[in-house]
Amino acid sequence: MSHTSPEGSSEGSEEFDLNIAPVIDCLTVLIAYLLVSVSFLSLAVLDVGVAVSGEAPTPDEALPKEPPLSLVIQLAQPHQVVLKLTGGAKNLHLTVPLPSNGATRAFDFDKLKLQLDQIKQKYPSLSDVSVAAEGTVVYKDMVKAIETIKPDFPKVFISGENVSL
Amino acid sequence: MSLQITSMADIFTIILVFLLKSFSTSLTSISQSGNMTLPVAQTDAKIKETLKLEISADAITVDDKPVVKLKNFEMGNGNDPEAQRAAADKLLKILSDQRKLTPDPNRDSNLIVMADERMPYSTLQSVLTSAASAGFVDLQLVVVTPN
Repeated sequence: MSHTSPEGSSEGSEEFDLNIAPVIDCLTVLIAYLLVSVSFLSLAVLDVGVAVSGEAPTPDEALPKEPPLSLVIQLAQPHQVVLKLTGGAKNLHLTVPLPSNGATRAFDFDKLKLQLDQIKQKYPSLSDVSVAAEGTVVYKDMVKAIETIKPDFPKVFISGENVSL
Repeated sequence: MSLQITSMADIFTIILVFLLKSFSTSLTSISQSGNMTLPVAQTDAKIKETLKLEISADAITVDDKPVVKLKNFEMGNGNDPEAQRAAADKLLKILSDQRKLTPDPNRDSNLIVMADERMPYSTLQSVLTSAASAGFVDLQLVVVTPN
């Protein structure tokens, strides 16, 4: 809204003084609304697949000459991580248990990271990793394990099978 | 002496622009509810719009609608396998119905999963089985990033 100022009544010149008080009111209400509704938490996602079990292939299907190399990481209580590397050209059956961290009595994800780095260097073609856990393992530890695996192996699958060591 | 509100209007405009920029306008509201603590993890992957499933201590919700009641993260009434199976079947039916809403060529296999960090794996396992049976095999596990 605008109006002519008293000084601007001389001929040929008109000065407009914009009343910005209502504009300020609107801005204050908008800012208050946005401050209440905006979330300052930064959320992101970890993309994982679900390992779906299916029927065994029929004998008619062409079978690969060697079983595919697969890595399964199992989380079990009391805070033990077990890596199982199977298949490949040498038909591996490796099991690497990582006991809990003595000081914190928690899963030792630092050791898991070191092991994964070594496996990645030795078997660069390996891309998929399955993660399984015991029923009582909490989701926080599952997420921590996936976070540790992701930099080396981007394709992570959560296995539906229950682990019991 | 009159109050100079022109500079105040300038400041307010800048604050408004900043807030509007950081305010995400998404179809799916992804925010941490009061009774849920999301796990913390370092990742750069952004959330893609799709169906949302939330698991808290007392309920599983699909698209903000409670579908299965939980008792301290357990389906059914604790150790009753029949009740657990019935709850898993109910979840499977709802997820299957939700998936059928999209036409076949574009049928989405993605599911946003927001779960409390204290949830045991056994509950996740039951939910995963129902989700995979309904065709949701690509999960987006929502986490809070440290920065």
